[in-house]
Amino acid sequence: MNKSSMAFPLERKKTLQILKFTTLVALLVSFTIFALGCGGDGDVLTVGDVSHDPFAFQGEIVVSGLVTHFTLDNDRIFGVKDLDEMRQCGFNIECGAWIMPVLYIGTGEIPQLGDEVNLTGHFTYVEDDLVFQVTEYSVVGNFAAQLN
Amino acid sequence: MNMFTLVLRNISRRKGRFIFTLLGIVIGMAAFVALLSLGGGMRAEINDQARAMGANIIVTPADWCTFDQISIFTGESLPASLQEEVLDQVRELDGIFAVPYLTQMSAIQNVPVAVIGIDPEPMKEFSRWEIADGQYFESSEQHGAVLGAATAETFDLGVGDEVRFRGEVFPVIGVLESVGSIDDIAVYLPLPVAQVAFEQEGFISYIGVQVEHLDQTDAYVAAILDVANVAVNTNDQLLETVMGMLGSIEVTLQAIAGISLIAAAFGIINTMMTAIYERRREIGILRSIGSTRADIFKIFLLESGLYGLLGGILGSVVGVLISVFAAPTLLASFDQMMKGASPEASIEPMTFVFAIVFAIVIAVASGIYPAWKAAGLSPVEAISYE
Repeated sequence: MNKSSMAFPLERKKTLQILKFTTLVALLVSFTIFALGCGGDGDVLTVGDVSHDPFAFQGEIVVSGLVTHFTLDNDRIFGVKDLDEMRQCGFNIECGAWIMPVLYIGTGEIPQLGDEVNLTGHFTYVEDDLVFQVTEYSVVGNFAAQLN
Repeated sequence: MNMFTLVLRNISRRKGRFIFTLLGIVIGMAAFVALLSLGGGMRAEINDQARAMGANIIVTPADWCTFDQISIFTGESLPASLQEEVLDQVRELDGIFAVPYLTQMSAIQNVPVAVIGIDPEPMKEFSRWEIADGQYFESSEQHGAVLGAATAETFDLGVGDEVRFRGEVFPVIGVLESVGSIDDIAVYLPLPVAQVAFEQEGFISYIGVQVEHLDQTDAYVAAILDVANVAVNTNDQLLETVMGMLGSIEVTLQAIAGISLIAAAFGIINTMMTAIYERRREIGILRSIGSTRADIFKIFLLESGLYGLLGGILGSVVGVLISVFAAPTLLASFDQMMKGASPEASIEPMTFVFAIVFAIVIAVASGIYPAWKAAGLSPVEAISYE
């Protein structure tokens, strides 16, 4: 019997032990990440949160909503509605939920109709009209197919 | 050696395989139990919130959708589309004690907060509020704010501080005692003051009603519908709507946990089938020394059942630990939805029993086919297997 055949069973046992340990650690880490990730983003406001008293929110805030309207003369101005309210309205664009007017002053492309967006900006008046002036945004989903 | 000893020895013969097969059941049961416990906690919290509200009947605009109705319990802003005259019409009915709510949203320190316009004196009696600090409204025209207990604590506000809504400053004149409901997380203004501040003169969001005779609730509902074009729901009906929504979420989550249990069941089948091939010779020997097909069937079925018993017990314990320690993180979204709620895991002894029995049933059901295959082996072929 040579040395390699004697050593092999020991190596195999050690490998199995390492594999078991690694699997357990991976499961634990995955669960931890999953649990932490399930906490939700408490800093993102909804359109419904800001609709009644926009200027109660000072400085830069992040507001989440659904892009439902665009203006004819300026595509950098668009309307955003509360996603939960839109769900309850069956994604009917004409439902009575408040339209938050958004002015995008960033350099990127504007979002598309039906995009669920997280908008970073602040409320201000532009020529006496209330707008949410946005410097940057991210698209987190799209509901264009459901809009009617 | 009796059958049980034989089963225990067989199961622990390959420890690695035993542990990984057991883990499958443990994880599935842990998820199932955790979801049952957390779901029970959420239901209990919603029930408490509804009871704490104190209303037997809720009067809302006729065109409110489910989202708006549920928002009564979740502390979200509500449309102010009910005319104030409706309140007067409802109050004229006998045996009815009605209070208006105008629920709007604003912010304190950039955190959304519910601002509720109320009729001060009736509301204090309706909700059985007590003042913890400062004083209550002296009139319905008083320009001041009374804070719920949690609001005052969260934002470190007290009597003498100021809050600003819609550009107007309101001095804090009082703080309520905690009542354990969404009343704790709101700011209260006298109704006329709130209506002016939020430009909702003449309108309210909904009306809460207490009735004199609970057994005649249907009659009161009919009477209200006779005098006003509104929607009327009993507190139980609204609760049913909320629970219905919660129920469908629970069913979905439990179905996902169920899928992991099905995967675990296939793991048991796989393990048992492998065991049959490995132990063919042993089965042949057992048959040749007098064991019947039924004995072989029982042995393998017992082995499967033991996986279920051990997996059920361990899974239930792990599931309870998850629901107790991970509840605040896992229910963060529920906290956001039901503002002011602090649900805890609801651990019932029957949940344990149900989980263990369920695990045993799944494991035994998984073991039927392998046990049948094992019992069907010919003793001569099995004993000569190498």
